[in-house]
Order: sequence, then C-alpha cells, then structure tokens
Amino acid sequence: MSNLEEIDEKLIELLHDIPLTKRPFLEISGFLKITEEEVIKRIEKLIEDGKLRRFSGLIAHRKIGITANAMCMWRVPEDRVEKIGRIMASFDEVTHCYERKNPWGYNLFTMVHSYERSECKEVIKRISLKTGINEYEIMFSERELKKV
Amino acid sequence: MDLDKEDKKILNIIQKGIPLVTNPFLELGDETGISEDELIERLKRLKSLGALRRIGVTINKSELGREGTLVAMKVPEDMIDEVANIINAYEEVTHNYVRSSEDLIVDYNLWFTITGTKERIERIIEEISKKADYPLLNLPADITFKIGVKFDIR
Repeated sequence: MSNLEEIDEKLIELLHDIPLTKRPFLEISGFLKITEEEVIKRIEKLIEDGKLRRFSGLIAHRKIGITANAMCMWRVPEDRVEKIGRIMASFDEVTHCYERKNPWGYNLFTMVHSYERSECKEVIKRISLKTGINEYEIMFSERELKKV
Repeated sequence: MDLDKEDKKILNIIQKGIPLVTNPFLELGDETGISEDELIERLKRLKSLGALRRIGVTINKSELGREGTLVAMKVPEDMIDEVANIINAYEEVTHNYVRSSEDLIVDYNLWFTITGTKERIERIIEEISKKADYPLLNLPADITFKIGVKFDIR
C-alpha cells in the first residue's frame, strides 16, 4: 500500500478481521504499542481521509441464501450516463454501479443480489421504469469459481 | 442455514457500520436490544457457521494506489475449469463467476475482477491471455457510482 504511515499499514492489516471481544481496539492497540484511544482516532482519520471505505460486518451472502446474482448491463444515451448512474446507484438492491465501455454498446453495469432470480428481475424492472432505460441485458451467475 | 430473527437483525445492522467506541458491541447491542455478551456470542457463532465473513475494514483501493477491473472471457464450456484454475491462481483476482445471458446476445461466459496497480493488472491480463488463448475483454470502470455491498437479510 502506498502513501500510508507504517503504523497505519499495520493497523489496517489488523483491522481486516477484528477480534470478537468486548474491547477489540484495546486488543489491537497491544500489537501496535499505542493506546486504545489512538487506535480509534486513527481509524476515524483513515475513514475521514477516504483511505478506508467502511468499517462494518461483511456477510457471506451466498451462504445465507442470497444466491441470485444479476449483472445487468444497460444501454444509456452518452449524455445521460451520469444522471442515470446516480439514480441506479440509489436503489438499495443495487450493490455496485459502474460505467464500463464495451463492444456491445452497453455502458452502465449494475449488480443486484437477492434470494431468487425473479426478485432480481423485479428490481431491474423497477430500475427500468424509473430511468426510462429499457435496453438492457441480464447476466446471472451460474457458478461461483472464486470469491475472496 | 438456521438463522433466527435475532441473527438476521444482527447481520443487517452490522453491515451498516461498527461504532468507533471502546465497546462497539455494547453500543450495537443497545440498538438491537441484545446484551453485549449475547451479541458477541452470536457473532462468533455466525462466523463459525460461515454467515459472517468478518468484521473489519474495507479499503478504498483508488486512494491507496490500486485499481480494479472487470474482465470477460469467452471460454468453451469444457475448458472452463482449466481456465478458471489459471485465473484463480492470481491472488489479485478477487472473484470469478460463470455467467450467462438469457437473451444470449453477450456470449462471454467467464467474468472476473482483478485488483492491483495498473501495471500489475495489465501484466496479469497479458499472462492469462498467453496461458489461455480465448477472446478476452478488459472492462475497467470509467465512473464508479456505487460500491456498497449491503444485503437485505430476511
């Protein structure tokens, strides 16, 4: 990792998977020889500076039954990509939204996860209705070959 | 997997963020009406069951000099596992799915993501192309509107 203090690099490593104890930051502070308070301050700063995106629980969605995973590619007029991209991103069910150029002429990609494929399709229909974009292609995942 | 109402409540709430205080699970417990001890016990159980991957940080790749890309490949059905082995051997490959489109307009079937420096990503793609000579498209994002994997657990 670049442009980080060494102590923050170590901190981020330790924060990858925090101990499930009452005082996780105290435990982590012991490895860094700083105080619990400083650990918390440093995390706040790393988030504020945008080095860290989130500090949260990460779920194994497939394990708990959220197995339908739709990548939807949308064909959006070039001058509307920014506006439409923001609308699509505002849907709770959309986990990722990117502009990606490709030979098929689709330019916005959204990921939708749910328990059933039919639910993903419903969400995609709602997105289409709200944005007025009705040229799209859904690619469901058939098999997970790797997930880190 | 056997999850009760409390488990689901916990999984939903921890996805929104962990409070930065000395006793984060005490504070989360207050929000969910679950004691600190029980919350920690449940989190440990959820982790051992594999429902919870981890509680921790998600780094902002671009802020740390790293980029991500999506790559699509068109691989014959009976070669998928062999090609997947080549792709998955790179630790920079963060996920890899077989996908198909219902309308069969897009016939690329292997979709994977790579995270790393720009140079490293280019190198990996070059190597994969050499080892598995099938049509490949690199589709980096021009604009990122959202990365916020949060699931509604019911």
